[in-house]
Amino acid sequence: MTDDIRVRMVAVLPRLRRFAYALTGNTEQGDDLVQDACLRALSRIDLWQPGTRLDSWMYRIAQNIWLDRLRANKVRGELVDIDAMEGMPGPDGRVVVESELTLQAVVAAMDRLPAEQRAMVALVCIEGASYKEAAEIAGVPVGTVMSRLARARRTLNAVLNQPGRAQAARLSAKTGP
Amino acid sequence: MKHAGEKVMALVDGQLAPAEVPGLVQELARDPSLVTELQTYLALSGSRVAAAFAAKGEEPVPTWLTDTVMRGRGRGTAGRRGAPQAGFGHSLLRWLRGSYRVPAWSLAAAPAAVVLLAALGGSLAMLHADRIGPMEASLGATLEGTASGKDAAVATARPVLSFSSKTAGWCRQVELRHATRQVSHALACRGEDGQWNVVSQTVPGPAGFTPAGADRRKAIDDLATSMMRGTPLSPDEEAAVIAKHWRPQ
Repeated sequence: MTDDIRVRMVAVLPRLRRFAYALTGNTEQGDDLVQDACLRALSRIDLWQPGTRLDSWMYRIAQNIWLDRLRANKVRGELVDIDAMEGMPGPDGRVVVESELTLQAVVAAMDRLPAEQRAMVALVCIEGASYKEAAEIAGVPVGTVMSRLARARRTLNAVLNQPGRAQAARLSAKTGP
Repeated sequence: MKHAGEKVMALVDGQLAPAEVPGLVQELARDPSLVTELQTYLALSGSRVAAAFAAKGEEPVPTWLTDTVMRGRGRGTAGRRGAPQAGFGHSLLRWLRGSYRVPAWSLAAAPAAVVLLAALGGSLAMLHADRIGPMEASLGATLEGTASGKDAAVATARPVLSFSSKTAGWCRQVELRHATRQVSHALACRGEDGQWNVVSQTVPGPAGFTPAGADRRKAIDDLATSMMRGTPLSPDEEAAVIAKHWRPQ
């Protein structure tokens, strides 16, 4: 493997860290995810096609690892303390709409989203991927990207604006794709 | 064809085809609900959300992460990858305990468990480390084709972990829930003849995290750790192995 590819991977790291943080909502877990994604990418570098986007390929790897972990935790019976989540301090929606979105508020709100919707927000809203690029990374049709994104935004809007409706919004979101 | 609401979102994201913009503007003028959607999407526009995360993308990348790429080895490699080393067992067990919870289904009793209990020998010592012999056929079939975390036909056996052992081929750790509302743990490995054989199992005990229960589980955890080559199979890897009928590596 040429050092050129490694250097290109290093160049992707800042954005990959941001993407991983958006998925996990935690710097340490995000960095662990980035590390695992990099190691997997290096071990499978022969699968990457020169001429295609290295960053998209690494986003896909990171997203797949993250989803695998979520599913593994789920099948192994990991429980989420919903009551504790409800007790989290929420932002005042009126303030949010009228001012800048804070990182903490958005991360807390994204935590209420189903994994696939959260990934769409991270790819399109944060990383600036087009719908088509997000579809390729996630391996789903563009229409699915749009429906997940629309549903995620409605949920985020509800959570950020009306903390009291957080639970209902989350339950509503969980029923979607 | 895109729904009008999705067109509104695409407009906010700058991804609506220019030819579709005039028509959408007309729809917005006619339909107040679309204006409401527009406000929602503007509130959560990509630029606003991205602005919240902007600082994260400008943080300096930790040196160890850069080294991961340049050297191909990550932080904690000894603990999580490659050949098992001194700290591996502890980190694995910590991971197992941290990721393991007793779900609600665990208290559900199933009549078949009585048969299973008899087949596995409920009077064994707390940890019977000798090879016992071929398992009950029904449990063998369960281990053959059931993904970890999935309930099987016998309804009382739940594989929780799969791995390649250093000497015994494929092995799986399984939790057995008995009609008596007791729990036992077992480790089984697949022989060359395709039979799943119990390598070790614990006597049934109360469900939950009683100290005694924790000891029983720990004994199986420790044994699995000592036998394991590398790390447990990921869900994807496990699914692939099951699909190939546990073909020898």
